[in-house]
Amino acid sequence: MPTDNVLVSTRGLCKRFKTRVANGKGWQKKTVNAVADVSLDIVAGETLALVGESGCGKTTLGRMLSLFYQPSEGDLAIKGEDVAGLKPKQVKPLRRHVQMIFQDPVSSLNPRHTVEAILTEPLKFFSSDNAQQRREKAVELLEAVGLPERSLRKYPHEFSGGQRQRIVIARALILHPAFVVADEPVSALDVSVQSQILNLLKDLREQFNLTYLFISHDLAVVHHLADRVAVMYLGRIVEVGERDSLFQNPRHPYTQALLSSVPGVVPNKGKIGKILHGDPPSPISPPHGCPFHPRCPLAQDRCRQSMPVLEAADSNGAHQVACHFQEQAAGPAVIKEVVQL
Amino acid sequence: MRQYLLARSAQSLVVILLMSFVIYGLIGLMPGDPIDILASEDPTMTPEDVAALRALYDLDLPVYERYLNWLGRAFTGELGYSRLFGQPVLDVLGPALVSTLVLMGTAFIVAIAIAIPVGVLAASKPRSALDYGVNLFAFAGISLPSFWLALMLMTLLCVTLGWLPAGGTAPAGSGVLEQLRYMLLPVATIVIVNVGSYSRFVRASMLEVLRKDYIRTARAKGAGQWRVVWRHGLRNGMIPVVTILALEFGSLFSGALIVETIFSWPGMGKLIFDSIMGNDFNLALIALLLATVLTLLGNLLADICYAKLDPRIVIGEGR
Amino acid sequence: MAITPLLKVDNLSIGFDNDDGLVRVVEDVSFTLERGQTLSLVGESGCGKSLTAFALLQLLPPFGKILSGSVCLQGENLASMDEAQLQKIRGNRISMIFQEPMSALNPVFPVGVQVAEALILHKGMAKKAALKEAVGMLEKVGIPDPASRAVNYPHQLSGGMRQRVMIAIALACEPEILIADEPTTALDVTIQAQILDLMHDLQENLGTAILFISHDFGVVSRMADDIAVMYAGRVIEQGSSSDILLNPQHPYTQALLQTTPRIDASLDRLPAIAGRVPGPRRRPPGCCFAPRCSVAVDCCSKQRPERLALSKSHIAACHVLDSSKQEVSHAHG
Repeated sequence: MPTDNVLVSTRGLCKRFKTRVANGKGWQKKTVNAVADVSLDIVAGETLALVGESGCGKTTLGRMLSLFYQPSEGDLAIKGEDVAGLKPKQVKPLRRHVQMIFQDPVSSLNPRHTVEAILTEPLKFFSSDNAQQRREKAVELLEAVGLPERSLRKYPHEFSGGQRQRIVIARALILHPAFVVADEPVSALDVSVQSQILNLLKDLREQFNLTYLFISHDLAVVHHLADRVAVMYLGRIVEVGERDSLFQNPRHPYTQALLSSVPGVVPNKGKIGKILHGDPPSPISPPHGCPFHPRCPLAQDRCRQSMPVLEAADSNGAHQVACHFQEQAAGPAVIKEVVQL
Repeated sequence: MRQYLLARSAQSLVVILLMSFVIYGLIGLMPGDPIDILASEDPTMTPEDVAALRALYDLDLPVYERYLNWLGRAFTGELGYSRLFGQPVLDVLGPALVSTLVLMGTAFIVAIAIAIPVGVLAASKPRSALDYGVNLFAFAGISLPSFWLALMLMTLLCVTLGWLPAGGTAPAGSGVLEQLRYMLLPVATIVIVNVGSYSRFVRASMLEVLRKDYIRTARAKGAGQWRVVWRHGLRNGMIPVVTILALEFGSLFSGALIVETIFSWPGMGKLIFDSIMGNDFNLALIALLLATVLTLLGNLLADICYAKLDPRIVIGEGR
Repeated sequence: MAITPLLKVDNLSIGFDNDDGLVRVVEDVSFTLERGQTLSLVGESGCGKSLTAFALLQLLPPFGKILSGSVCLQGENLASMDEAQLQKIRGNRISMIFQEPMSALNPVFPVGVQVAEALILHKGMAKKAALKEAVGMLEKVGIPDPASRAVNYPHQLSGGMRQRVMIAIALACEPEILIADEPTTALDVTIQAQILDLMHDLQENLGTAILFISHDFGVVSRMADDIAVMYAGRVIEQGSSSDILLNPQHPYTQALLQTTPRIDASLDRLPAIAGRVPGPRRRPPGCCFAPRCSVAVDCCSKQRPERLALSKSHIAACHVLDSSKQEVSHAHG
């Protein structure tokens, strides 16, 4: 487990939302445990990918780490500073170190602002630059994301989807943050544009010394960009490890199922076979014990009764799994068969 | 559902209470009071008499004290006497309210019955002759003042052609047909003024709905145009229309007041007009409050229809 | 060929005729689909793949129309049929499922009723019998507890369940052809795997031919017997699944395959295709891919490349391939 140079650190982080559920007659108040007991360290300079199905809490976790949401419980430290429990005013100076890139580049840009206004707005809040200096910085960032200077006077609708995502990225980087949370930044884009943006994110990481939390449902994209991968299921991290270790030797049955669901790009018409049945349970009433047990092929009584905790799955502890049967679960992943084809 | 209705009623009560204060205050701001009118009609009254009368009717108190006194009496069910009619307020209002509701209700139902098919047809054939016709008619209806239209219809059908009675209601004991003859013109006026904009609401909503993916699904299933529009489209299209129409119900009331006055229809409109002109505080207050109640009822009805039309909306503890 | 193919599309061109004048969006698309087979139309957004699918049943959006070409279902031309004839085919002999199962289902009707409708329309069933049959269909597509699910509204079901309902609607009348327009794009990868497996099962049991529209080569590799790659309104390469995935010849297909991130290969940088797809009004006179192509030669920007038969099953339209021999094929299929 890396200990030094930790940029973002969480211990037992939880986020609960209050909601109301229609039960046929009226409404019932319920609590959703969107994120439950997440302990993570993100080291400066690395890209940690957060993967899982929709509704698993990856976006909520990302929003807590990017200071959009206050944690309900647990500790969150950024650059060694404790954030949980701070008042909004005290959080503000930290915001310049943490930025977010959203999925939909259309709705995350104000259609009535020029690119210049969009890019320079964060500087107005966080720097003492004058208009000229702000403009120079905006041009510099446009160049970094591969857009010409004349874009400054244009409006978002004059750009294509990929170019808009470049603008979103430029806005996120204009304050030179240390930590960037990218929530599905390429899933709204076409394949050929997606690869341009992925390459750009890689380049910018070197150029600006960035640390990424990369949230995605697309394992192929994650494989391309991530150094480490954390797999979430029903608000909890069920497996975390170095990319190659996790992709080649997944220990948790859920990770294995996720990986075997990814189709390879070789002609092999036919059933995938080893797939998960059913839908993920609702986080409003999570199952007792291991959250994955209702869909797990290995589930035993023990899994229905007690919640497994993250434990080291290899000698140096970099690969951790939360499964009672991680020894049995370990085995050749389907992915290897694909490689051999 | 019952819980919801209770919560809504409680909310409505608060609104009515607030409105009663606002209306009371506004009436209090009006120049002159009943005593002034009495004094001007009776030259023998001395200023001392006037002051004594004012004190008798509490009119010398500040407006909030008078309001609280009135409220206290209102809660015991005593809404006072109408000065103009010399009868308890409710006895005067009851029949007027019924005849207004008959007029408005009929006009509203007729207007909707015309607007839905016309709006739907216009939406299913955008840019067709029917579509342009609906547009033209809607704008004509919006631009025509109802009092002018009412007078024109009256001139043509009652004075020139002599087909219909020019106003009032059928004499007591006359048949249904005769009563309908008296209703025809006021109803027609309200319908003509409103049906255009109602059809435009329906058309706009249906145009939106007919672009939806599930309409494409219905076509892909092999459903014909008729089925696609009337079965798959209409119920979805009605969801927003219901809300607008419920709000329109309130403004229909104020429109009805003008039409009633012109056709001497013995409804709330004439009553409100007369009571305000005659400084009949007690009557004006309750009559105006009834308008508030009608609007609130319209909204409640809309919410219930909304939940009936859209299964995604569950009526429960109100917000 | 002696036997008429199940579906034969010939030189299909589709355009939009609105206030801005006529614009051709899909040009000269030809393919055939056989019983029990899956043909996949692949391409990026705006390439015309979905429009092609909608045109088969004349379900084009307003102002869209077929400009030329034919769509023959066992020899009968759908492109020249009137609305009443088409209604007998839609949902009965050719069905469709769509990308967004939430918006594709009518929110105000229970899902059972929506499945039953197809049976009422085409099989002349009474409402009660159709509802009963609908429950059976829901069971067939793997919906647990189908009888109580049938009275649920779409918003009460998960995304995967909704897509199963869509499939139940589409297959209720046992169509010969199922058109699936990006059916798993809106779903999670584990649910996607379920839906793809379900489609395999149903194809095996019913012998349905599938026209599978997708932007995702991964999904396509699981589904397709044959693949047609579209770019800017044209099919630029077409062949068996292994022709396209293992031996792509057109520079665009090659680039698209290389640029797709994969979990079975590690690259420091993805080979990106510079620029973007030209809109239908901005298509260059020559090969539409020429401005982005790394191997383009002079004639690429001047002249549209013809379709070349590279083997019995493999066709591509590229000048660079042309110059390296092959005979020109006008008649294909």
